[in-house]
Amino acid sequence: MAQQTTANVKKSKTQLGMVMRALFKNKMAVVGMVILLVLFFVGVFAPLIAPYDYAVQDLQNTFQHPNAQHWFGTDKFGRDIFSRVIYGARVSLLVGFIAVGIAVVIGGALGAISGYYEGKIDNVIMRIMDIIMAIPNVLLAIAIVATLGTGLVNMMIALGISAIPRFARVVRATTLTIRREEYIEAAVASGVSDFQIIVMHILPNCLPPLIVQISLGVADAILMAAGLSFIGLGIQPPDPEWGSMLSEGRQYIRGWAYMTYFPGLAIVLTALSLNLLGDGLRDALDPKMKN
Amino acid sequence: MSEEKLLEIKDLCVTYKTDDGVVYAVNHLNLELGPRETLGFVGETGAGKTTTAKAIMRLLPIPPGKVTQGEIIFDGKDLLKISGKEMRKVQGEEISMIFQDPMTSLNPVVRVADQIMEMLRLHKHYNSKKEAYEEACQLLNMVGIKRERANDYPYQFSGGMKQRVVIAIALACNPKLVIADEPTTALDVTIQAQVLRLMKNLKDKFGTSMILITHDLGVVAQICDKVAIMYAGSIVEYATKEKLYTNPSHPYTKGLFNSIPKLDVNEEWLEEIHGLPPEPTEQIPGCIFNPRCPNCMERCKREKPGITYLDDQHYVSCFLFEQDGQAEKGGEA
Amino acid sequence: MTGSNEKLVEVNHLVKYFNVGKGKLHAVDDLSFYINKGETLGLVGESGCGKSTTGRTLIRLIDADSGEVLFHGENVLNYDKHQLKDFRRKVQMVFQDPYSSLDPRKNLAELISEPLINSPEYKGNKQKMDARVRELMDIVGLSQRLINSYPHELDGGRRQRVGVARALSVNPEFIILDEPVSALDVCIQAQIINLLKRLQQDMGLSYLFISHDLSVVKHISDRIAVMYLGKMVELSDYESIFVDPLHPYTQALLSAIPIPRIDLDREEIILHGDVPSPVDPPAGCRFAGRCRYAQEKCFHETPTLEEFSTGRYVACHYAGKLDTLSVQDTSEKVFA
Repeated sequence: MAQQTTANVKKSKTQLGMVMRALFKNKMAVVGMVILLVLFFVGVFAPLIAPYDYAVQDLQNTFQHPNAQHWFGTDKFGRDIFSRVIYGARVSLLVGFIAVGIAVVIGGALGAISGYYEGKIDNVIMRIMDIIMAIPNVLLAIAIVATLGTGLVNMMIALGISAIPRFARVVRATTLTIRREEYIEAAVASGVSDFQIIVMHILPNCLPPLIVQISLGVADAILMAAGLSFIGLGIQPPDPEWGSMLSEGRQYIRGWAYMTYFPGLAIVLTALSLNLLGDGLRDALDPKMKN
Repeated sequence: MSEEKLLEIKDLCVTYKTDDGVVYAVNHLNLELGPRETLGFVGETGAGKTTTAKAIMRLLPIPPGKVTQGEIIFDGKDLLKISGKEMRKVQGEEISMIFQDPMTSLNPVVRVADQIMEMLRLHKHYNSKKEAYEEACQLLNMVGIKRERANDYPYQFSGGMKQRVVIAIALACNPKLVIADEPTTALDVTIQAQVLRLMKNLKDKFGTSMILITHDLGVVAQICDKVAIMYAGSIVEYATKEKLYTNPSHPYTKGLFNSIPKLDVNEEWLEEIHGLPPEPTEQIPGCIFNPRCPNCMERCKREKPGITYLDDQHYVSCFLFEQDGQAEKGGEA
Repeated sequence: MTGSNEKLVEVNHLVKYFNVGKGKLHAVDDLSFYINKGETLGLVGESGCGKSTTGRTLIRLIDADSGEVLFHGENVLNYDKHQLKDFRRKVQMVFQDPYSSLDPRKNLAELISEPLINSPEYKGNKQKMDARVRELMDIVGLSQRLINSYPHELDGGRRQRVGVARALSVNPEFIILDEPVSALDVCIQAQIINLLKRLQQDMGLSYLFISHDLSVVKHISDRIAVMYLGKMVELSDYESIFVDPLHPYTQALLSAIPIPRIDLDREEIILHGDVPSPVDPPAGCRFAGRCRYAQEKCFHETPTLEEFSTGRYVACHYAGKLDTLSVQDTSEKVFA
C-alpha cells in the first residue's frame, strides 16, 4: 500500500501540473486565487500591516467616519476598524476553513460509504444526518460549544459538526449516481477493492458539486461564527472577527453604516474569491474542459 | 432525375464553430426528392446526416451552427429565407420529424392523447376538444394502439409502442415530408421489423415522402427508393436503391457493404475500411476519403472530385469513374 | 474456428430472480450451458431476455439465486472474497457502452492499468506497469501517443479498444463480451470483431459473446445460444442455426434481421406485440403468446431444452415438426 501511494503521488504530480495549467488559463479563477492569497497574506502578516493595535481603545475618537487616520473609521470604543478587519482575517479564515475541512472529511467519508454500500449502513448514517439537520445549525453549534466549553477550537469543531450533513448529502447523492455507472462495474469485475473504487473513482467524480458546497460553506461558517461570538460562545472580545464586527455595527447602522461595510465586504470578498476559484477548479479538474 | 420535385437542396454548406476550430459539417450538398419518394440517408456517426435534417427543419442550433451557403427549396419556397412564422407553419404541418430515441422525444408527464392533440390543435381548427380527441384516437388506432390506451402516459408503453406514438404525432397533420432520424435504432430487431412494416404501410397509404436517416443498409433495403451515401459531410454516392445495391461504386460504399457481417456467407475475417473517419475539424486536401481509400491515386490527394453521373439516376463523387461518365461539375480546389 | 473439448466454463441450472414491486422478475431461469477452452459461445436475445444478467452472474457482479458456475471444475458461486479476487484475474469482462464503461476522469494509462493495481507482479512497479500498458496498447492497435488522453478525446472504436486492453491486461483465460460492438458504426464494428478474433487465435482465449445481433454473433461464435425471457430456447453450432433454425423464435429473429440486399426472397415473419413482462411469467412456453405455431399444449407445459440432434438443443414441444402444424396469422393487420 505504501509503495502504491508513492506511485500515485508521482502520477498526481503530472496531473497536478495539468490542473494548474488549466486553472491559470481561467482568468476569473486567477482573480479568485489572487484575492484569496491576499486575504491569507493579510491574515498572516496582520501585525506588520495593521496601523493600530486591534484592541486599543481611544475613547476620544469614537464613531469616526473613515478619514486619513482611520481609513475604515473607528467603532464605539474608538478602535481602528481597518486594523480590526486585518486581524479579523486571521480568525475568520481559520474558522471558515477548519470548520469546513472537518465537515468535508467526515461528511464526505460518511456520504461516500452511505451511497456506495446503500442498504442498512446508508439508512443508519442518513437517519443520523437527518436528526442533525432537524436541529437548527446555530442551536446545534451552541449545544456543542456549551458542552465542550467556549473557545476558538471548540467553536470550529461545533461549526464543523453542524455542517457535516450537507456535505454527506451532496457526496451521497453523487455517489449514488456514479455507483450505477458501468465503469464502477468494470472496476469491480477487474478485482479492484471497494476502498480503491471509492478513492479512485467515486471521490474524484464527487468533486464538482463538493467544490461548490465548500465555497458556500466557508462563507456560512464565518457568519455562523459571528452568531456564536455574539452570544458569547465564540471569539471573546476584544479579539476581532468579521462576523461579530458585522453584528456589532448593525446596532449603529442608521448613523454609522460604514461599520458594517468593511467587515461585510471582507466576508463577501472571501466568499466571492472562493466561488471564482471553486468554479475554475471544477472546470480544471474536468478532463473534458481541457484542450 | 424525377420531373416533379418536392424538396431540392442546392449546394448546402453548414459549419459549426467550436473551441477547436470550425467544423465543416455539411459540404456542398445537392439533393432532390420527389413526391412519394423515400430517400435513405446513410452514413456513419458524424457524417452530417442529422445536421442536414436539422438544416431542413431549421432546427440547427445557431450559433454555433451556421448555414454558410445554399438553398433548401421545399414545395417552391426556400426554407432558409422564409420568415420564422411561415417556417412554424411548415414545421409539423408540411414537414415533420421522427427522432431516434422514443424515450426522450415524448414528454413523460403528458398523456399520449394530449401530446397528439397538441400537434393537431396547433395546426388545425377544431370546434371542440372532443373532436380533436377523437382524431387523436383514430391516429393511435392507425399505428396499432388501442383507444383504451390513449390516456396512458409514455412510461406505460414499451419502446416500440412509444415509437408508434411518435409516428402518430409525426403524421397527425398529414405532412408532405417526414424526416425520420434513426427511427428504429433504439429498438429490438423484432420490434424494428414491426415498426418498419408500419412505416412502410403508412407512407404508402398517405403518399408521404420520407427521408430516412440510418446507418443500417439493411433497413434501407427494406423501405427506401433512393439512397444517398454520406461521408464526412458530403454525398459520395447517390442512386436508386436497385442501382446502388447491385452496383455500389464509390470505394466507401463498397467498404460499407463489405464490412457488414453477412448471414449467408461464411467469411473468416470481415473486410475493414482501414483507419477512422476524419476528425470534425480536420481539413483533408483532395478527396475526403483518400486517406482510407484502397484505390487512392495521386490525383485524389490534390483535387476534390466532382460529380460523375454513371447514368441519370446514379452519381458518384470519385475520380475512378470520370473517364466512364462525363464530369458535370468541376471540383473545388 | 477453434476450440478444444475441455470444458472451461460450465453453467448448471443457473437461476436469478429479481424482487420487483409486483413480484419476481425471472431474469435467468434454469440456464445450463458450457464453454470449451478456446471456444466462443454466442448468447443472443432481445433486451430483457436475461443475457446480460447471465454474463454478470458468471463473473459474480450479480449473485445468483441457485445453480452453479464451474470454472475449471470449481464452483465460482462458492468462492470467498480471496478466491474471488484470483478468479477475477482469470476472467474479464468487456462492456457494451464504451462511453459509460470508462471513468471520464482517468487517462488511458490509468484505465488500462487498473486491473493490475492489485496484482503482486505489478503493484508499485511503475516502470513495469507502464511497459505493460504500452504493450497492451500495441496489441489492441492503439497508438502510444494516446497514453495520456482521456476517454472523451477518443471515438467509440478506440474507446472499445481501451476496454479490450483493460480486459487483456491480466492475461485472462476467459472474457465475457457484453455487446462489445453494438454502440459502434459498422466499419468500426468490423475492426473490433476482427481484433477480437485475432486475439482469440493468438492467445487461446475463450469468449462468451453476448449480443442482440445474430449476424455479428455468427461471425465470431463457434456455437450460438438463443435466449427468450430468461430461458434458453435453442443452442446449436453456428452454421445450422442459420440454415435450419429449429425454434420458432429463432426463425422470427433471423427473419427480422435487415439484410442489405434487394435480391433476397425470404419469408418475413413479423412477431405480433411486445416481449411479455418477465415478472411472474405464466406457465407453459414463454414464447407461446407470440408464436404462430402455438398449440394448446404450449400454454400449459413448459418445454425443456432437449437434444434434437448431435450438438443441437431446442426447447420446443414441436421442434422439427413445425411444418405439420397449421400457421396462425399472428402478424399485424395492415391498417386500413
